[in-house]
Amino acid sequence: MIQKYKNTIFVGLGLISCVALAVFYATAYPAHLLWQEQNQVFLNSRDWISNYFDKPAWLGCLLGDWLTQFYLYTWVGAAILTLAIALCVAGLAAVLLRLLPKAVAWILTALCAVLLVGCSMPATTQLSFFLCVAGGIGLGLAEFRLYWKETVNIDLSPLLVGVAYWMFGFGALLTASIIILLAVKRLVSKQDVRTWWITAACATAISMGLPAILCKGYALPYAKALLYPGIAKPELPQMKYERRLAISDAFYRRDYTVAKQLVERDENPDEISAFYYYLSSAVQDSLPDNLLKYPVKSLGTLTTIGETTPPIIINMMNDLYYELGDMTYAERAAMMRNVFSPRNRNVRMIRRLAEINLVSGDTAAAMKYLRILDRTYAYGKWSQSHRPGSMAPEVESDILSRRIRSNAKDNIRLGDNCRNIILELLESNPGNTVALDYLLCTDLLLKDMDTFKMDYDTYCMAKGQPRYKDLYQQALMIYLAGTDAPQEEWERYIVPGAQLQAFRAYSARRGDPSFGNTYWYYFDRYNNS
Amino acid sequence: MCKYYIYILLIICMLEGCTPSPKDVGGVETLPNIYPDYIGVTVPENIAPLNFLLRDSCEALYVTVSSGDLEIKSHRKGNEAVFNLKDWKKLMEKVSGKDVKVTVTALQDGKWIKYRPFDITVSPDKIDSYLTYRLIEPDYEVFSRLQIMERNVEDFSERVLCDYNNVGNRCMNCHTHAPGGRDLSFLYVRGDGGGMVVNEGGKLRKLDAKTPDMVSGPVYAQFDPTGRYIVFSTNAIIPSFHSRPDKRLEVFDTKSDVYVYDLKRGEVVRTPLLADSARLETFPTFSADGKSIYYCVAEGPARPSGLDSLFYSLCCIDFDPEKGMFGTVTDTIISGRWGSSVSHPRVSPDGKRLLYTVSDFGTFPIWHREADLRMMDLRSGEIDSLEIVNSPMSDTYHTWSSTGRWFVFASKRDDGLYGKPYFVHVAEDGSVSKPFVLPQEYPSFYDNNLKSYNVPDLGTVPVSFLPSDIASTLNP
Repeated sequence: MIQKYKNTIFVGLGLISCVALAVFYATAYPAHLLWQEQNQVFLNSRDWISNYFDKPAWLGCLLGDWLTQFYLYTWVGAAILTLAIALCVAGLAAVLLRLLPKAVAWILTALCAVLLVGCSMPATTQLSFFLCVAGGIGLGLAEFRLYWKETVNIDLSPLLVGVAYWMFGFGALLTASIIILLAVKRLVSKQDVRTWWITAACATAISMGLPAILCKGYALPYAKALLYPGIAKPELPQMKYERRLAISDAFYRRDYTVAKQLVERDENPDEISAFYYYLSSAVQDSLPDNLLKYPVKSLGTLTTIGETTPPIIINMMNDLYYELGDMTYAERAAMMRNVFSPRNRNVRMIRRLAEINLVSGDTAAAMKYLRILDRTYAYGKWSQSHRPGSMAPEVESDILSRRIRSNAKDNIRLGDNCRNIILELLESNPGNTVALDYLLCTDLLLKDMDTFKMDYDTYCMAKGQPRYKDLYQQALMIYLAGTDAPQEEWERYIVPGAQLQAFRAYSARRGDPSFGNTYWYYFDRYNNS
Repeated sequence: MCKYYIYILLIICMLEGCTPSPKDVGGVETLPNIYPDYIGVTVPENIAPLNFLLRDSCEALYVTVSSGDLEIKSHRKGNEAVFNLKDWKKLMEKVSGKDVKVTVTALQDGKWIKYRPFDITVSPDKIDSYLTYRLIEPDYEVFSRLQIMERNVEDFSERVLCDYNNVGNRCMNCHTHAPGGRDLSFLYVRGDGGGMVVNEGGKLRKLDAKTPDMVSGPVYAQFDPTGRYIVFSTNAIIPSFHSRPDKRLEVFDTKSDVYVYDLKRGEVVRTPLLADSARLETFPTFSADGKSIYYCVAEGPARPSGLDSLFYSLCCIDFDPEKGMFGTVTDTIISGRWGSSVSHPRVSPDGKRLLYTVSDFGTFPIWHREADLRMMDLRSGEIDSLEIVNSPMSDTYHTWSSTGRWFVFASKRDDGLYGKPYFVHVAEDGSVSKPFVLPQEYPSFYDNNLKSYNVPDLGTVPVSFLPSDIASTLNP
């Protein structure tokens, strides 16, 4: 009975695996899909599409990028990726079943399927990889013979290797391998003992020789031309990275509360997660209220970016500068992220560049990016709602509020020293509370009480806008107590009440864990070097 | 077989039938809002078709380009006008020296509207056929996947001269042709193992132009008219940023000197007058006869806090090409002063004119919105402010054609960010025409393109090396 329905059982198991895989991608790995979608841009434009013909694997890359734009819709993305892998696996199964005993073929197919799924785990793997694999296998299975009367019967399958290279790049290696293996099988089964080697030799020669001939025209070194557009490596699911990406994405969607909730779900959030927690808090005007929740060395204000910076860190800095109001450095990070994305395109950053230029009031530059977004499938409406002159009211209000926060004075900066940037922003607009909190909180994380007091005096007291947050009150108490400040100084800075009483209590029991959520405890206990 | 041709014809007829034809056409007195702006420009007769799009939304576009009885048309759905290359070439040959009339008729909201026609002047002065440029994101501080390209301006063919894939994703400087229509040129690949690569008729060699006392390898460089010498500056370049977002990037030199490399002797020629540690000498270029070198100079040192008072003057020094020696006296042609810093001097091949850029201060006009071109008559000293050429955005990185009848420059006039190559016709009397951008096969190309055309340079013959040749020259 089992023997009779063995193939049906295998196919059924395959289908169930596909559904399970799609559910996994959609529910446990959606941020990876969104990362892929953001890491490129596909324009419905002839000039854009024509670019794909400049290199091999045009069909794999074109189809891959076109389909990747739909990753924006989680379940659609999960279905696309699953189908692409399923195509590869089905092709492999067809090849192996022709070559090997069924049981061995199915076991090997299952192993290959696991490897292919593993290849989908890194955030760097593009859909084109799977399409090139599937295309290469598919062409390997397509028999191409020239029959003429009964005298001519020539195996032209090796020519398909050339077609495979043109359309699927490295997939041609799979095409050639399959053609060779099938030829060897014909030899073993004595179906073709005379010409099998010609087929095999031609397939080998074309698969290795064509990239060598075309690599100069494609401006690629041979090794890169042979493996174009690139080989993925299998990895285990990167759940920690998935969480980071999900948090970053929630922030990008301005779901600040969701971003914070995602961080809170993690028992021990890393610096990147904590960064977004604090940035979300700052946007919600509650950074000082939450600063001590997760111990971090900095709020991102000490981070510099360059060509070796991981992409997610560049995203972080883009978000940080955009929220602080520094459009120069937000634009720099966005450009950098574009430059270091595949094909130098990143749709998240193209949106951000449009926003940055709208905030800066640079309509011509903003229109450049909005026109690009007009030609995308998913962002046309977004682009229309951001058109200068016909902006949606909520968009206009957001842009104007950011414009007020941005830098009005000019200065030359040699590096991304965030402290200087924040000071310039506060000089332009002392009411920029995001920048103010980042300045003061950075001082406090560094336990640099003198600088904190100086900054508080300059941007709060001197401007007549003291910021009465428990954190700042606690820090001021440390400074005042440490400098033996006179009573009038205490009265000038400290609001009488519960905080003052608590400080007295803490002073009597320094280091008591029941004060674990106070800056006093942090100041005494945490070594932040 | 014949059956298939009939099917194909039928399909073509059906597709053609799908494009509505103008009827009940109404007229408007306004000029069409087209991009690129080709209204009233002067173009060489050997230029590729000036394909364009209508910025106003429309369902179909019917465009005619005519002169007398001659007419070509573009009739398509959508908002793009794309001309057949062969038809365009035929028309251009026949109307050389005359004006052509462009009539744009658009189907908008179900009604055909005919805009006021405009003229394009077709000059019999041909332009050099090959344009080279570097494609780079407008964030010159970081880069990835740079390419130096060569475009045939007579059609739309473009090929890679140097590709990031072949040079380990390193930075590369722009490609520069030698004057005189020879296949002689150079480019510079930066980083370890890089260097100046000189192309002589397709044969490449790496020059070791940097000596230990130089602050860097060659940065801004030009050939002399004979092709024996390359004058170059070495610059310690510091990228920095303006805090005001509209000003973006500022790049300045903390040190810079000028030298000449003698390709024949394989040695560097120097003079203390152009390697003064107290001064910043840069942007050197030979005169048309090769007997003098124009360059820019400012008093150093440059400090970030004082960049807005760093003004470069235009100077000149004699050079004896026979002996390979500098003169002993420098002349100041234009003094740098408040609000006027000179950069990138370029002498026309006939030696009559000098084209240069003026910006408020500093040495990196491509990021200065106020940067404009100026043209000096070298016989009379008169300066043309080139009002018809300049825009409110940066206009710089200019090069003459081999005849001196055209020049190309990079302009950010469209969006302030992305440089594009614009061409200008210069008549015998020195009068200039409205610039036009390098035509593209797809009119939406510039809208979608996210790379700047950096330092466009004209050449009469195609460069005869491949990207892989550069790799094998650098890594023999």
